[in-house]
Amino acid sequence: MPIELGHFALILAGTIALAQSAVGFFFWRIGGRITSYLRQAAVLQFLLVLASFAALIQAFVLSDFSLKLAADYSYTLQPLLYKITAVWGNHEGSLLLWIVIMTGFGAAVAISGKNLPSDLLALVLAVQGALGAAFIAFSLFTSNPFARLFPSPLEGQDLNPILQDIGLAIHPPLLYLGYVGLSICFSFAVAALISGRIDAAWARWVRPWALGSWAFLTLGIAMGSYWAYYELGWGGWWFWDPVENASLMPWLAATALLHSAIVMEKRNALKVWTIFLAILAFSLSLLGMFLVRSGILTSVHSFASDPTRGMVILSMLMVVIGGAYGLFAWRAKSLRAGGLFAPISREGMLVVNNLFLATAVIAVLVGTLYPLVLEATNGVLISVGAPFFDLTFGVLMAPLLIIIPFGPFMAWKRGDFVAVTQRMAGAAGFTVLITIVLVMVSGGKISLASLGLLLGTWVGIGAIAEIVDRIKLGKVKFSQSWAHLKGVPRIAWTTMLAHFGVGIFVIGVVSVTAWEMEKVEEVAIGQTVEIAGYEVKMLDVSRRLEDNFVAEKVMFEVTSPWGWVTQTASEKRVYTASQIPTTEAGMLTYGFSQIYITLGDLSEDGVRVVRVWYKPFIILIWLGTLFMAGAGFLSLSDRRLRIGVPKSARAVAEPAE
Amino acid sequence: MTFWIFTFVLSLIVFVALIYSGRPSRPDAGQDNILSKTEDHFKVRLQKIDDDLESKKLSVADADDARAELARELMRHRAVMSDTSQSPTKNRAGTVISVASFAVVALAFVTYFGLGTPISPIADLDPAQLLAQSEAEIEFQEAMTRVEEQTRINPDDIRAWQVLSSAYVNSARYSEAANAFRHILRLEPPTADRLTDLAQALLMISPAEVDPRAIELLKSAVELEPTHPRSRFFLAVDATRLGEWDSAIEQWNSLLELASDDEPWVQAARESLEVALARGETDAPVDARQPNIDEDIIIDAAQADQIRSMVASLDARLASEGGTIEEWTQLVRSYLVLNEREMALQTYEKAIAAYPDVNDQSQLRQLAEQENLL
Repeated sequence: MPIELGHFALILAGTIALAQSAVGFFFWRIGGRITSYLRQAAVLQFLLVLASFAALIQAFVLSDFSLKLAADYSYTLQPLLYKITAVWGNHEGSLLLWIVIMTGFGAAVAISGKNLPSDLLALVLAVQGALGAAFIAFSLFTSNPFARLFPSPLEGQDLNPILQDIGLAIHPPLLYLGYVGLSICFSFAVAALISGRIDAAWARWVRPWALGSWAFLTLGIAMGSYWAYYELGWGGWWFWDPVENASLMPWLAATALLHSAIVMEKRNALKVWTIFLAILAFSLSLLGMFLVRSGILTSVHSFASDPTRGMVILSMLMVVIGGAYGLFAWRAKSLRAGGLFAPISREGMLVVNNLFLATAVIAVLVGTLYPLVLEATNGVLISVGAPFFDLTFGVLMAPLLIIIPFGPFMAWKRGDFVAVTQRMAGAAGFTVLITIVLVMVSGGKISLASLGLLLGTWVGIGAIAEIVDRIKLGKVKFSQSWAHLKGVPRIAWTTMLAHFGVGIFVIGVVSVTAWEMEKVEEVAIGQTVEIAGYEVKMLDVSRRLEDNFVAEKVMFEVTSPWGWVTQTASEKRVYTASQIPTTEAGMLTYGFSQIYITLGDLSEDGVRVVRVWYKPFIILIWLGTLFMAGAGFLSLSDRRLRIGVPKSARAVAEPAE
Repeated sequence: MTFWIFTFVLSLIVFVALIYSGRPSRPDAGQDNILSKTEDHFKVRLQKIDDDLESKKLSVADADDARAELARELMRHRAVMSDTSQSPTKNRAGTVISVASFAVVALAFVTYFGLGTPISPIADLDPAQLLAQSEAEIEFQEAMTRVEEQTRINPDDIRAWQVLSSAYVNSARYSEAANAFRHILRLEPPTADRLTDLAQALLMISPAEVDPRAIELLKSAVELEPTHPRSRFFLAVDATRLGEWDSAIEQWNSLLELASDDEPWVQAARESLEVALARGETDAPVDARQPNIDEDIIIDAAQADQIRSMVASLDARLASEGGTIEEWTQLVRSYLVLNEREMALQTYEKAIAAYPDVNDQSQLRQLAEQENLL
């Protein structure tokens, strides 16, 4: 019965979403009672979807295989965590998770939207209702997670072993929080276009949602990267897989949106562009969904291929993008240009930032879709891989990295480039010094990698330099600097943290790309592999029996160049139900670097092929993203952003940047 | 019925909550807050311009420009608001809310009738369909269901998995049999017999396409017990099937060396050896040239023994440790399925002795009557 109640709850949520959308679009001007109704509808919709998701989880936890989804993707002996994560380890369940998050965001807008004008709130909830109705209908009519099996099988078919990992509990929910959070920005954009309320206030209201989505998307992509790194056994952190690209594109658009929304909020400029980006970011999220679920891609991310589902998503994509941009074109002439600013100004820097990010989106989009379009039109199979993206994306990012530190130093409206350059001279000198030291430590060769390090260090040091400049460190007494430091607004700290994160991310990427080492050797027990001064010795082989898999476990002892001795294990597993083999890498972290060991095949004479990698500074990649996402959350904690407008008139006097 | 009560209550809650949210008496209902909410924002922006002027991020002239921009924007905004606040549709809010709330619930029920499965289709089966099945089959299925339920409650019940594995093989439910054998392997150390049971089930799932996992399991079985005839038989069949004649000859010869000539598989092994010696070019029947693992002879004997051993095991347990009346009934049913009526009768009598209360005996007596056991 809980399964059927969950099914009914989802249907009821769908009809509420439909009513929310219809009432919102037709009667948004009434405000008052209608807005209250829409707010209630959004909250109820979320609670009902949550209840249906809970019903699904219960069926998985209890191994109720009368639920087809549980029979297809679960197994009685799976650990409890994986029984729960198996709920979204498939198309139907993950779509419901998407809907849970989407309606959750809608409910959050409804609850926190008391400070929004009621007409704008009504329209935002109407758009959210339309999206909710479309996704729930997609779920119910083409991907019903509540489909039943009678008679029910005794045992399920198990979840794909690669997905039986903590990563499935973290990566998709975070990614969806990012993807779906952008739907709120989209709804705000459409609401603004319909109501004509496109002003700086709009930017202030939309920015927290863009910020939250961006922070979650950053974390989601980063966690996905780390999961792929340790689980797939290839030792790579980014593969330019089309589905990875599909998550990168909305991230780039959201990054641009964040920055353009600042300009719109502060100077009432870039209004048209900001609305355009808000629509683009969510459209790219939907494009990612289409790539994963339509079956046009073969990837570790792609769910079962189904042309019907693909066509439905494509139709939704066309309606959303076509409708929103159609509205955009229709209303474009009524959109007034905002405040004026000189090219050399903070606004100017943010515009340049947006240009580079938008061009990067186009580069990634072309590289991702071109092979698919070519195959669809000519039947020609080509692969666009890392060389294309390294050249296009890398070349676009290099100048962006150069200008990042300049932005926070510039004044609004009209900046003084010479003065800013003088203020940054210290940071530039310090950057060169650190880069020279890093290059000497790494072998003393001048190469592209050295330039990359220079850029990463420049961004990192430049971020800190802005705070140093604000507190006038070294120019006034230390006590005065300390007093200034306490007065630095939170937004400046978040800018510093985010840009510093970008810097160390770049250092990590450059280091691991340039100086990674790999060895593939046949090793018997007691034998050693040497790599980058580390000695990796195979200790023993044992058999590990778990409820749902049998593993061959190989212990390694790793001696670092400094004589530290530690142990790690690599495994080859065979899962009981599916009989699918997987490889678990053994990893040891030394500072920001890692030793990574995977097992190959066993040769006839009992010797095993072992792959060992040395990954210098690879941890900085994910540490950098944590800084970025952390900055986003810190910025969200700023009360002015969190609630949209001050609570009372007195709060107006709160210090601003 | 309970389900419909729940759905009705849920729908009622939703309907009331929606209607309640749009009632006129709500404190903020009917009072548009648009203007004041937006003007708060303009105040914040004005303050920010002053802050930037104070911190010298803006010159006096730029700050004046910014204030003028803000003032123009505020005036435009007020003009738009005064137009929209005169909407004539405000009086229709109550009707809209009522109609929409009703439609939400009505549409949900209509959609659920189309998509949902409120009642298990098993309960909906036509009685005629049920009668079409032989009574023995129904009994057997009932027994299976009970044992399956037992494994669901306790997945570590090795006896239940053993009984099920044989039953599944007999019913040609090879996927489920393979699953049961996997559980047996999980719960007990791997032996040549257990590995071969699983391999055999995997082979039977799709006899035309040999599952490589099955071959790996058979090789493991031979590694564990080099003289294990059943696993060696299957491996030799596979070598013959693949046309690996030298390997097949060697495997058939060594298998025949293990035989004492009275095994049921010896004849098939000899014929296959002939096929291998002739490199596939022989007058022997096609079936012998490519032995069909689907019809091998050794399996039946092994399986029959296995089923009997399972039932005997249950019998021994009930005799020594006792058991529930359901387990006794299940044992009687198992003997009936094996067509061992004498044993079934003896077990029935033991069960009656173990549960003298007539109320406990109803199911058992019903079974005996249906099967004309008494």
